[in-house]
Amino acid sequence: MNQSYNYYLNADLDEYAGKWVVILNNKVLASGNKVYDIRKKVEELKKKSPDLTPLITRIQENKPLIL
Amino acid sequence: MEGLKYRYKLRPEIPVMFRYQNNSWYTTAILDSGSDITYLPFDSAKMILKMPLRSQPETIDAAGGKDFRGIPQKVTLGVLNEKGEEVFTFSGINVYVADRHYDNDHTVLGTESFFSKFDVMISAKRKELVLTPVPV
Repeated sequence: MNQSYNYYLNADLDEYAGKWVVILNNKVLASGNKVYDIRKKVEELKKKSPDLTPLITRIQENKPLIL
Repeated sequence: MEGLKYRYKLRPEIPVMFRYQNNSWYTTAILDSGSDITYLPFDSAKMILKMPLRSQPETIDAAGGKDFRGIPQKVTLGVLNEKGEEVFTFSGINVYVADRHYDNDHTVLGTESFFSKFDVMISAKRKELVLTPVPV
C-alpha cells in the first residue's frame, strides 16, 4: 500500500471527512458513511487483484474527540 | 535502533495491517496511550476481516462515563512504515471488536497490544511521531 498511504498523507481529503474510503493508486476508489457502503468495491478488488492492498480507512473529522 | 518516523494529519496515527485468518485489512489507527486495549470497529472486523464475532462480549469503560461491549479476538498486527512497508509483525495480538455498528467509530491502538511494544514520542506541534521498538 505504498502509494496509497502516501496519497492519504498528502492529498486534501477534507471532502471525505467522517467517511470511509478505499484508496488505491493515488485515487479514492469508493467512499461512504459506513464500511457497508464500500464493501462492494473491497470485494471487487479482492476478487480481481488479490495481491493489491488498498488502504481502507475512515477520514478523521476536524472536531474535538476523546476516546 | 533508530525510530520509525511518521507525519500525521489531525491526530497521532500510523499505517497498520490487521490480519485474521486469510483476510488482511490495511488501514490507519490512532495511537491512544490512555486506552488499555486495541479496538476495531464492528463493520470492518465483520466485513473486511470476516471475523465470526461469536464470542461473548465484555463491558469496557470508555470516556465520558460511558461503556461499550467489546468482543475479544486475536489478530496479526503489521506495523507499516511511512512508505507503507510492513516493518514489524506481531501475531496473536489481543484486540476488542465492538459488538455492533457505532457511528463515528475509530480504530485505536492501545497500551496492551501496542505501547508495550514501542516507545512513542509525539510532537503535536510538528504533527510527527517516532516509534522506537522496545527490546524484548
